[in-house]
Amino acid sequence: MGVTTALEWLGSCSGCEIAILNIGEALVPIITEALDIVHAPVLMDHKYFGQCGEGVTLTIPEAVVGIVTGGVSNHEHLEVLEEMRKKCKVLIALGTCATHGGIPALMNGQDRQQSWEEVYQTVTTDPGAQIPNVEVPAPLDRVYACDEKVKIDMQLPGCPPNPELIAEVIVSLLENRAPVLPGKSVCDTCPTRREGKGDVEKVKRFITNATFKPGEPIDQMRCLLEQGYLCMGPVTAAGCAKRGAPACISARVPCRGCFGPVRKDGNQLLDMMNALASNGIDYKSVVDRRSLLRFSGAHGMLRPVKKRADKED
Amino acid sequence: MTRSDMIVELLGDFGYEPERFSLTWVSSAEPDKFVAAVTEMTARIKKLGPVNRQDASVA
Repeated sequence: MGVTTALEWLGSCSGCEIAILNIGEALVPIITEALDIVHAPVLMDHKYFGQCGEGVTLTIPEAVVGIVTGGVSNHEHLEVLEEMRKKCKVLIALGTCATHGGIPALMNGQDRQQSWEEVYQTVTTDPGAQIPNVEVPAPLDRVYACDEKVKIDMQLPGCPPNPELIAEVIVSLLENRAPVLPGKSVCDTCPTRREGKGDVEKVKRFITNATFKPGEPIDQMRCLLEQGYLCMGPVTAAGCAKRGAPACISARVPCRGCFGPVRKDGNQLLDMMNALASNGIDYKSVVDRRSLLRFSGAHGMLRPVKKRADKED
Repeated sequence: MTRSDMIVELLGDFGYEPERFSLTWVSSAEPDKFVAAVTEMTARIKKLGPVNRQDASVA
């Protein structure tokens, strides 16, 4: 008899669910023997309001383990998340959207009303069209991470999360031990050659390739940050490394920070600009520095930019 | 770039009005200038209002 498990998805793209499936063959004993999945919207046909829709309130069955993906951006997400917290003993936030806001939290950096108007009222929209508010869940005032609304027992970031880590966390929970998780930052898991501070004055845009010999292993390539590219490895949580190197670096491409900050309340913009400033890079020269928060816009990190007020009387 | 200029840029990045920061030099022999600076800043901040606290405390 397996441990009862419920899965739910909020503002999710389903990439985390695919990451669960990508656990591969090791997933089969997990879902057939170790776990007893009682509710999983995308993978299993268990419904909120009774199997024939006879129920009145949204109900999720009780479970020992709950896994929730996606961020909280409307009232339906909030209702589902609170029901999951009520019914599950151990609630795991899976994926960077759930842990830090993720890509949908980019909207926190814009004026909300303006964003809705831009989306629903374009130049080709028929006159009189309105922002929909009938039979759709009402949006919240901004996009939230799950731990801003309910207590979360375990955070597993990643965009998408590492299937091996998902399996390790589930198995360690069942074996009642602490999970074996990788080191602190992406740099800890990166095998590239460090030769000391690079001779860099301006951040290089990735419109030219990094310097490396094609065919040579990754540990022969010089660190991308030392080469002058904006690699967010130092300010990003480790976890993406499979086959010996962080996912993007193994494709010879700089890290984009998709696992969120290293510390729980780390600020990827401030920390990265700090790291660059210590290398002599001018703060203002990185004109797109707000996109350093592209994955961690919840927790109040990303807010709309206020225009400079004109001189008052 | 001076540190105070950078603070203004930083505040802007995080959605705070740049007017919330100000650097004024006043010597102890310029009381009127000091009073004017403090009064002006207080009025400016009162007009801007409280910082819009968008972060929810962790449940």
